[in-house]
Amino acid sequence: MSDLLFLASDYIERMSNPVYGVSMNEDYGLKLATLLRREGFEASLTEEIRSLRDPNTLTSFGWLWLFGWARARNIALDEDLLIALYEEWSSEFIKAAIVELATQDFKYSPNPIPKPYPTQTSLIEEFPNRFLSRIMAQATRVSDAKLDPSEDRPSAQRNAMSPEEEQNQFEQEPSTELAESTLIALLQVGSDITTDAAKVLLEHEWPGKDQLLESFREILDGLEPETRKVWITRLEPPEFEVR
Amino acid sequence: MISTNNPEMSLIGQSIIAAVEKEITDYSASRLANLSVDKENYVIKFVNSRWAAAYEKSAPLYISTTPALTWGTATYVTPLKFPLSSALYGRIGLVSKYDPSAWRIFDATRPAARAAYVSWIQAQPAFRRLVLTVHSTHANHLLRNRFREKFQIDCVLFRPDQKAELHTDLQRHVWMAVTDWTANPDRAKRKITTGESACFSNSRFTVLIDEDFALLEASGLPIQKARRRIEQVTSKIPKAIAVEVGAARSYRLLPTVVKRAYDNDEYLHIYIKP
Repeated sequence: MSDLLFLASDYIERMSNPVYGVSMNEDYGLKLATLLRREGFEASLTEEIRSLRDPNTLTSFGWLWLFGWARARNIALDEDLLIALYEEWSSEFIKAAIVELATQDFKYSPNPIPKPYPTQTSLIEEFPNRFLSRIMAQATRVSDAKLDPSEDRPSAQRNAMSPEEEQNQFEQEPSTELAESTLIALLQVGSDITTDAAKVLLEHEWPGKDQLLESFREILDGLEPETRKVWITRLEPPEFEVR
Repeated sequence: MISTNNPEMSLIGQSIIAAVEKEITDYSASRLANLSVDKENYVIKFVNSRWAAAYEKSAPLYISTTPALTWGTATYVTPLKFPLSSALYGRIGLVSKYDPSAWRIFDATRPAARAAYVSWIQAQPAFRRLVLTVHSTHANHLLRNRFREKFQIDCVLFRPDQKAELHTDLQRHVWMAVTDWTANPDRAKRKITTGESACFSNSRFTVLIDEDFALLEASGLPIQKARRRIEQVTSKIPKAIAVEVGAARSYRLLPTVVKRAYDNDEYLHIYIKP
């Protein structure tokens, strides 16, 4: 980290972390404003931000402030840095803020996904935005140890499993935690491209698909009917009909 | 009702959007129009006294980004109609003139507006996480930014959520969270910006108050009532002597005056001459 960002990071932290209290937050906001009025400071800070690579440069509050700053000024952050921050934080709200920042300048022309969906190619890998493709691939990646050998069986056969088999399968089910939070983050951003990405994530064939759809169903059940209908129409999730 | 026709509202039911839009008015139809002073629009913001010199001449206010504030990233000010309402934040009152004529105003002092916001929040994909997470301060900050951006709200009016003893009337006073936007010819695509406020670019040190408030905070979040630190003591002392600070500095008998004040259970108020 450069001296400039090292200096600014302390100001940013005291300005943005509520633990310091509103008075100190406001005071440091004004201090930073004083610095920013100095000729060349803002331009230098922008350059520093563009060159950031280390996710440990700032605290979570500092990063949140920086996201807002970068977003308002169309400053592009390094993709690997954003991926690292995305994976590090559990809050869907912060994940959504990262997704929004990473996709804000991407020129996207919505292209309807043909039905029936191609099964041989991965919609995730071919998704037009690389950042979104990467976070979706990571969210649906399953380690070999977690793979369920019964996956090769047709779904009808899987549905006829004994309780012991079901228990065994439960223990071997892949974690869908990251996929669920990615789905929520994509929907929370709610732009055309992230909504299409959410659609692709729901369609993606992987061992956690059923569980992800179940989680999606739970979110839908919590929505009022009109919004629920909008979601189903827009996302066309498998096995759902507009009621 | 005025609409932004924001194209990226596609995951929210139309009736929820309509309910929010119904609560957004232009300036002339808003409560703010009744809060002018001599038919002109001014606001006041109290800050720490260390900023007095920075605002000796007109300068912009700074947009607050702390997640601890009520309506997200905005400039928090008070209509001059309530000049001392927010005095708990500092001894220096910065006054600014502003032009709200093109603003979209969301009046969160109205129960119907608050209900519309809550309906919108409940339709958010991450709503369940909001009510279950430990990071709710973060989350609410981001959601309120999103709300104001999606509906292109220039100003949120709200009741004070922190009180300066005797100075703030929670039922009657109104505070403002004002949005500064990025420049974009397409109004619906403007984003909330940070840095210096263009809405309040002519702020100047105008008020000095002889009071400090105990701004109690727990884990950085404000607790509602801020007690007076000075007046609640001086009001209990029947007699006082007042000396202008310039005179006090050069007054050779000042030690005697202080001694007398002490001996007679009085207090000496050294004030800055206006």
